Amino acid sequence: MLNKDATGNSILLEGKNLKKYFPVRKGVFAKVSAWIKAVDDVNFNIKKGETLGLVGESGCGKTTTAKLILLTEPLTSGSIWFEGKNIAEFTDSQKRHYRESIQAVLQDPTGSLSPRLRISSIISEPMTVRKKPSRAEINTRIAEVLQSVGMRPEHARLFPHEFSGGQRQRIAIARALSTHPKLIILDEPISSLDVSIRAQIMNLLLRIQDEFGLAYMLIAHDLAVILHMSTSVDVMYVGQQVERADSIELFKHPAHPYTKALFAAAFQHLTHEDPTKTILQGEVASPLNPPPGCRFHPRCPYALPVCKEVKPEFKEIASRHQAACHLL
Amino acid sequence: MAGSKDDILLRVTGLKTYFFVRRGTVKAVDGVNFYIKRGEVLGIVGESACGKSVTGLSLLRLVPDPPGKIVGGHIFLEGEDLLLKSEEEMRKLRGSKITMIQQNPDSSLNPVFRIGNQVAEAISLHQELKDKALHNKVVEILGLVNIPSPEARMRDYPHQMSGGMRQRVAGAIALSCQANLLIADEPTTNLDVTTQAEYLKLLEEVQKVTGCAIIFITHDFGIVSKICTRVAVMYAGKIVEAGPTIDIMQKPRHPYTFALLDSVPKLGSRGTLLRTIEGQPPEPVDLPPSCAFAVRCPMAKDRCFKENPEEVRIDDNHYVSCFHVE
Repeated sequence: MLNKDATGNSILLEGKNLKKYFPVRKGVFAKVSAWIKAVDDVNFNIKKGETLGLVGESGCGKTTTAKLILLTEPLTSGSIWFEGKNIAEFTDSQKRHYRESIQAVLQDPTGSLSPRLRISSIISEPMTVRKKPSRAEINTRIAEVLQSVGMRPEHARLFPHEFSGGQRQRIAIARALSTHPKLIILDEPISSLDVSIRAQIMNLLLRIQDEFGLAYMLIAHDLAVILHMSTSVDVMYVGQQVERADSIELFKHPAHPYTKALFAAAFQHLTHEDPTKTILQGEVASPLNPPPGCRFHPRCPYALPVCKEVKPEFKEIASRHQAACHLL
Repeated sequence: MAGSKDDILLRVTGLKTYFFVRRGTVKAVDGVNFYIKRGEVLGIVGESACGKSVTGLSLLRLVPDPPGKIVGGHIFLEGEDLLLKSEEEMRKLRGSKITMIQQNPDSSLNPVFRIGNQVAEAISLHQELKDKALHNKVVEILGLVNIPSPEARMRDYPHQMSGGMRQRVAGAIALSCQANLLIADEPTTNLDVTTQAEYLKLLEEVQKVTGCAIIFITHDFGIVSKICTRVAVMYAGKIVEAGPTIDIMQKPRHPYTFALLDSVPKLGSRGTLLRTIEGQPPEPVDLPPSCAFAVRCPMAKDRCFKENPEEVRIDDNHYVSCFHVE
């Protein structure tokens, strides 16, 4: 079978050589003067019921990757495969089905829930796009999803401002669940929440994943959260993948210098690495003018002359563990 | 040297800062006691709305009035009570003795002035420096916070710099007058994770050079464990536990501190459910006089809902406000 990987788990969603370039226009004729390479040759696959973690800092292309999957941004090149089919060849009705199967929970629930709609309208809207369920069906489903996220059916009558941040994020999760999705894209789902609320939401996400057999794509900048939630992890830096491994393998043997720095930042009191090698100098490079060779070389404490010139290949360094670094 | 009266830079006793709003009285800071020694780094940890930022603003007497007011307590800086000073005297102290770095450098820097001028303005308010001498001082300070080629970058406007660099400029302004107390209010929250590590290292270095004491306000125990010597945990306007960082991290005694440390994912915790704190932080309007954490506390007994626990000393320097430690 084409859509199975080595372990026999079937692949739900696959991205092949995804690229997204944004044009930078200048002058009276809005001539394209440069390209922002937000996502530059990214590959991934998400298996049924598993969690892929995407970790990286601002500007690394993790949110753009999510937008490509959600079809809110068109691809520059590359292809996305859903259950073994290329989505570029989908008919309109297949596309609607695809959109229903893939839902998103965004970082800031205050921004992602319309302040003028009642919770019932917010949750029922995605359900009515493809089908026309009856009022009774809608109400039953609203009550179901609210209970799944630990809220009460009566809450459906209220407005978003009547809830706390953690409850609003629960509502956003309930909305995502309303269409029986197969995959939920979680874009920094806990970073806007208070510390004591974060654990509640992480537990909720793990529980409903188990209950409904969901796959997640979890986007975050905090490696501790990613390792806690994910089955496999992709580390991104300025539009490219620098390391990929199973989550357990990654926390036992982080290989890329950038992963090690993220590791030290997330587990500050636990690492025994030399701090001069894990505290990076400077800032994340701009995807407008990425450095030649390895994009990480200006900040890399181990950089060699070759890193400035040759782009390292993304290669297997151990079983099911890949990284892009000349030193490995 | 430990405990000797002389090396205490700041002592806060019974500080109360209330906000009088239409819905009632918000007791943002409600009877807070702490001290900081010269050259020490004290962490104040808590969730949003626990009063940690208002504590910082109260020390500078910059609480917006109305609706806010410092209604009680004392703030002794080098033995003098700041709450008895006139506004004129306070203005002289701000910047020269106590200074502050805020969370968002974009709101503390003026977008229409070159950063060199903004640093120079802060210096010339407190020191008699002009022309060349002032210019040199600006270059020196920007160099201290690791701005590359400061001579050239001082002509930049804030938008020409990255977020991390802007935050370092904000730090440069705060440090320009050799204040001996720096209040850093979540200075790294807006920065990228790897930039955060670099900024913390910079703060540590600057602290070694200038010898200033730092009050580091944050919600992140990871940062605390890295740079703070002592830590105070705040909940609903009160300090519930305070002590040396190692003691608090390894032997937390207050149920809130314990739960907070326990609710963070750890190495090897993959896929397991985390211990959570049920409910949410209280609205600080008209709080009950009893322990504010009782409603979320797994150990709460009848007494916790009736009385407010007094601070109990359990170790040399380790204080806890909870009935369960007695």
